[in-house]
Amino acid sequence: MKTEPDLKSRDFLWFSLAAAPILAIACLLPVYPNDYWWYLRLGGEILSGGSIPQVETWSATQAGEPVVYQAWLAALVFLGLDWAGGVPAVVLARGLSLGVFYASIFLASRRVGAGARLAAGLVVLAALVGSSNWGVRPQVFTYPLFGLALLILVSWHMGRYRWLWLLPFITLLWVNLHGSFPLVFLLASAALVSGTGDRRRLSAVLAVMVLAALLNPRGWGAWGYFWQMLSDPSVRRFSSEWKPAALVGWQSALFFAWLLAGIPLAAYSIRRLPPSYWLWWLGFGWLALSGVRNVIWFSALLAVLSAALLVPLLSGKPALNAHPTRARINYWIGSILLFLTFLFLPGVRERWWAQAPPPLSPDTPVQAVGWLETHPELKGRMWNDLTFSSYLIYALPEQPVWIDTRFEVYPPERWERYQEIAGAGQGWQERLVEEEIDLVVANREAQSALIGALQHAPGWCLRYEDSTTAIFSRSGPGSGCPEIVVGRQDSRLNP
Amino acid sequence: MDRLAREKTGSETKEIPETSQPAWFIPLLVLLLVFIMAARTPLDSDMWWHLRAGEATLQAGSPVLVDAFSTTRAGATWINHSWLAQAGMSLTHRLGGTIGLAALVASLAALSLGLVYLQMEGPPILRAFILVMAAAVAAPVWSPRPQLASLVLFGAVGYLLYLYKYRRKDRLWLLAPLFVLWSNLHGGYVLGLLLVGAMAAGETLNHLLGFGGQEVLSWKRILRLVAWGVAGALLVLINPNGLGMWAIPFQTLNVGALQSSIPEWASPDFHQISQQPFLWLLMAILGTAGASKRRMDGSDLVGVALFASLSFMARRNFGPFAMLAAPVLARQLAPLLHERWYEFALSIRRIFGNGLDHSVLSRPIPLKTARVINLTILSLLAIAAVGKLSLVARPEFVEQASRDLYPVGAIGWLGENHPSGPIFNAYDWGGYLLWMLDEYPVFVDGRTDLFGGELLHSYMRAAAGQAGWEAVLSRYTINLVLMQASSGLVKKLEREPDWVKAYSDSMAVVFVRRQSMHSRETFDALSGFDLSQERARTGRWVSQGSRPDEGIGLYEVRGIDNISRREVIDLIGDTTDPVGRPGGRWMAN
Repeated sequence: MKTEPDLKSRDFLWFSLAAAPILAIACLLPVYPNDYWWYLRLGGEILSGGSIPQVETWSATQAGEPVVYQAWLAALVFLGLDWAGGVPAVVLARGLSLGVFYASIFLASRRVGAGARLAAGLVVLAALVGSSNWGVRPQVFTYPLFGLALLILVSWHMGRYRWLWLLPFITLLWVNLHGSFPLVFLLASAALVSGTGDRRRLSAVLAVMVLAALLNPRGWGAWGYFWQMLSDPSVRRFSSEWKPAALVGWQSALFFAWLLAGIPLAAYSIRRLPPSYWLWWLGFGWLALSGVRNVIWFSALLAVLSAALLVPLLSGKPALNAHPTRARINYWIGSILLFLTFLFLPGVRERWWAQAPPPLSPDTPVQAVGWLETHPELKGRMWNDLTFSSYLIYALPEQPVWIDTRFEVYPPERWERYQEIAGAGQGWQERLVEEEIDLVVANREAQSALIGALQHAPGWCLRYEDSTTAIFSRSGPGSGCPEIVVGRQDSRLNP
Repeated sequence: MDRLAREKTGSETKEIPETSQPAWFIPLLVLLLVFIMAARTPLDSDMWWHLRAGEATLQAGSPVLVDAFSTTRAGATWINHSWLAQAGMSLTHRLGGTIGLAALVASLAALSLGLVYLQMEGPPILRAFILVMAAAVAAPVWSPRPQLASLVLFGAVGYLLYLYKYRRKDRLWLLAPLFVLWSNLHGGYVLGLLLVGAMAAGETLNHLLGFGGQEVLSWKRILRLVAWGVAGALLVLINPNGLGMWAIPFQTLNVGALQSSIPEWASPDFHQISQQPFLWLLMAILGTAGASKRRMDGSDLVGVALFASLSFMARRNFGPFAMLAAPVLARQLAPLLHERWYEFALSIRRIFGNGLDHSVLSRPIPLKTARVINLTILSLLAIAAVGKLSLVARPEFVEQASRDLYPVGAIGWLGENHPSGPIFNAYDWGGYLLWMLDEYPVFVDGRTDLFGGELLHSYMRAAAGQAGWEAVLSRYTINLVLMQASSGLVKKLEREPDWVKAYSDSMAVVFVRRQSMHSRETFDALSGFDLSQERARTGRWVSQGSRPDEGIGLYEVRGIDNISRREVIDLIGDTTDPVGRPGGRWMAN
């Protein structure tokens, strides 16, 4: 029986081959404690209060100060996922988000003319370069939005306007999910200025996008938030993900190599790309080099631009393969591959994998916080490790934190002081006295010096320790220290 | 006469004058601007030890090849790759002082970019624009150091390669003296070898990709280039360090501590506006490569990729990258602009039609008038250059600027009081300390290749007051510490009873080990120190003073009634005699 060439099924198969390891890794990656937990608390407060908090209440140090939560919708989504299925549901949502993101990149690469194999290879490369940005945070919901916007605008360049109307909806979702929504305007306005599609249509859509971006609790203020985050001194100085990309490690080496490969690709490809593509390259390249958190957007663009430039260099034969493929088999194989990735989900993998990795990153202080909950007598003001802060905010709401991962909430002086104490720098004891700290929740890895100093400091007792956490409290005058509780940090426990 | 105009005519002999502007005007103008840009206060943490080594070389009449400036590497072989540049710097300093040094820096910066200008294509105004862009990229590395000689020689090698490839003039034999000179001026000779290698690789790429054209070197000419490159690599051995010169690039690269802690060896930080021009230049090349109809040459491609990678690894490579990238950008941009400018001009004409008085706009200025105007502009710029130089490099200004960068007060105190060493000093201040005080060989200074990764790591750990700092100070029997007031070590020492804070200001702190205070000088120095801090720290009412009487130390410890002699001894660190001399005695108040 003669079968017809079927590009769709071949595309699906190749995409599945690329996406399966990506999704498997996304399922296996633990939930890092940095931001996720405080979003759960935010979601809860929005639901219970019926409004988005505008005053800081979680920290002892900035209490009463105004606070902005641009990612309020992401907080609610996280909360909903948590209610629906806990950490496995959240991990699944991350996998799906990444799946849509990389599928969009694949389709955009195909749209610019790349073969399925080339597109799949570029998707894998983009995943390798951008995987450091896969944390469970609101950004993860915006990746598919970016991918879809990119696909729509690439299609627009080729005279396909069918899905253009989606852009305002993407904007509407994005502005409420995360503060990085101006990126969709960067994509669209570069296309408008120098793209090859129908500019009149895009102008109209862009105008609606501007209006859609106003449909958020802060209206125009959302734009101000974006610029504030870009220029906030605390964020720029102390947040590692906002620091410029440096040539350290294989992932950044791959990123820089791909970046530089753009020059020969541009120089030797006989294809001349529209200037808008280069505007994207320059704009997002600048963003990626200015802050590692932006590498993932750029990796998507690099994939699509590389695809466009590589097509004429690699195409020795027509894009349509003359060999017929069995569509049904392709779909089956692809589906099975994708389905298999779900076996790596937490909650599923434990059923067949005795040594399955835990769903939570080991530096989530589940046991330690559980112990603190059972010791309400330790009520004094708490100094805490930054990494632990998000989980403390979530799991110990009655105990305000000293600092947390909302970098913009705290002034630079607070961060400097945090570093002084965390490193047991000069005057750390005086600092703790000035701050009226009675309780220290320290990270054994990040604050080994502080833990060592506290163990020898008079007036402090080590109360609890496990493999990641050490908790100290002040001892009363003349009183000794109670016995140390040694915990067993086991992040398999689902909080 | 512009080269593009000649090419457009299709003939070398038929020339169309495009402008009444003399050909030398724009290059001179832009190089004067570069000179003004590079005329700065001659201060750099490495400059001082280069000057010191240069002085030693001039005095001895031969290069300093054994370390005599540090306690940690004293007597060790020092591959002093910059001995000739150091002697030149010292001579300049002797003859022209700080103004002479600043003039040298500005001249070398202008010269290096002048050599780049010669390699560029396109209208002079385009070349000037790109050159200014390159200057903005390279500017952070313009400092009074032998590194600047490397930039000039990099430009010279680049120019020879340009002549070889694009003008078909074989002057490659000049590489031989250039590399000999380079290996005596600075260890950066490897940049020149990389440049030669990049061109050889790029030309090979041209052949592999099947690119033809007059500008692509034949295999024979590539081999010739490689042969001269190999000769250059061998000729760098003609220097007082011999084979050691080959080790320099590897020694420096292997010092991992450099990248993490020394800014010029770190990856670029694009949050800093001063480092963004590198990004703009790189992106301009990428943008023009994508937009230009002229295919990028293999040599340009390999060169840009190589030097951009080096710049991503360490920002000190911005200079060579800028010098290589500027001609590449010009080659790409010139035909692109020509085409686009033509379209732009046409569209303007379409829009404004007869509204423009073309006869007025295109009327040439008489040559004589143009020359007068040009000379006036250049003269004014030259005056501005001299003015800036004399302003920012005059000794009193340098002295004032030094106070913001170096521990002038602390070193003055050391010079007056002469406490016993060895000294543990801040890395950035090692050179200045060497220059200012002969008597204190440093713990560490900017000669990273001499000190090596292990020692630098030890230094960094101790300087930060990290675990093991005591062992580092003990291992080198350190009795004196000169560090930034904000350093971790200072914070540790403040809490150590064995150390006395003998001097402090907002920038620097000097600590003296108690056990070392046996000399009268040290103790005398300490006696002038306000012990109120000690009193506050110990909770005791203690003060002390000294009256040196012809070699006999007389020391008073007030409040002796309330403090045991043992505690006094603990405080000032002695057993029987606070100064270790006969005659020292205790007196109760």
